[in-house]
Amino acid sequence: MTEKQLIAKLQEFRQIKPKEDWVIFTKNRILGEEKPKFSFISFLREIQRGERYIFQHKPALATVLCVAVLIGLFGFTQSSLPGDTLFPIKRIKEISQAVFVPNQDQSKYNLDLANKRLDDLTKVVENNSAKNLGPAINEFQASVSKAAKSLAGTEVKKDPTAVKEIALEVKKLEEKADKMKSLGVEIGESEELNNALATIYEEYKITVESEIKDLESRTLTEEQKEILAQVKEDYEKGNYSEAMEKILLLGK
Amino acid sequence: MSKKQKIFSKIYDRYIDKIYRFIFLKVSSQEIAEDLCSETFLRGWETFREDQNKIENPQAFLYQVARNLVIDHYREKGRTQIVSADYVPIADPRANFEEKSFLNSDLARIKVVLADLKGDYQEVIIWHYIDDLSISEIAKMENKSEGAVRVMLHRALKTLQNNLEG
Repeated sequence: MTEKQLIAKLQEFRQIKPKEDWVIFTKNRILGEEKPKFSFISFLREIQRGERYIFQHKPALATVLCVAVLIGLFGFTQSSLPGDTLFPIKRIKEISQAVFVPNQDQSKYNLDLANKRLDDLTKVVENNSAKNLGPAINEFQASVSKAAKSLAGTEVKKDPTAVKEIALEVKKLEEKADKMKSLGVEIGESEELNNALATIYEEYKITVESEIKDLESRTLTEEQKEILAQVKEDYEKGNYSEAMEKILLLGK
Repeated sequence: MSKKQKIFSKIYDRYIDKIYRFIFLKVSSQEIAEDLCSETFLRGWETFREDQNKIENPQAFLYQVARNLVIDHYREKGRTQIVSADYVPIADPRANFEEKSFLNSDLARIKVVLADLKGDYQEVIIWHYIDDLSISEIAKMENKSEGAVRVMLHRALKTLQNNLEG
């Protein structure tokens, strides 16, 4: 290849561009959501204030209309998929709901969202909807990454319910991934999520171990000894959350 | 949007393609390129927000941050080909250039050989031939003379050519 040919080939790499959805998504994430030039909410407010002549003398009706339109909009967006015009509104609703989720439940909430995104991706594949495919994949990957990050910061040392709930959500993800296989789509495992889960399970295992050692050093009634034996059995089988439940029964 | 956000938004729009491409050609993974690229702009925004005057040359600043992030990435992961476990191998019907290029074996080969060049050579080729930066712009960014940049560019291209033939 001559130098000239090589330079021409190199210049073809100029076509490499990031995905448009990702560019917008990333910009919004870094700078915050940008207000649209025309704001429907502002438009409705203008109606309410009488700056739009239609409802000049009926502010109460205008307010009710605003609320009704918003409720309708939120309801209508439920079926929207990534790539649809109304999907961002659905996301805004999910983000605003997340504010009310207690810290200790954030991991479960984020895993639940990952499940929803996988449901969206499944629908897109089933419907063979080309325009939604890229956005659906990106949304799913982003939701898994977010779930993994929130898991990484989770404290579940003594909460068997939380661990069980997390395990349940993960199991749902795995089952849905299996379903996708039957549609001819392989969902690869997420290293980030696996690492976060492994850390949680490992911490949980260590906590259960420590509790067992402590119980062994105490004087127990016959009934308590029986429960401890069951705890050890659960531990050996790797059922750490069941083990912790029984430990909590022992009043630890 | 605040004034700073508006200004940075323009910077983002202007350089996002170049920075993404710069990183992608070095890491050869879309997911990693996206992660590192968004981190680059996040750091850029944080610096800009703190003190706009800290960034005299946004292009140079962003390339520098991107370069450092790629170095950190390789330091952490080891210089092995990483296939993201999160990648869903579905054919995107909007298949963009990165995917198409793998069907074009010439470009795929050049991409691999380019990624194997030493950092300086890679960068100067990407900046001049792909991102269309002038010798003068590269010289300012690298704090080198234009002559030194020309020599490096010549050597980089020769090395790439030889490695492709080898």
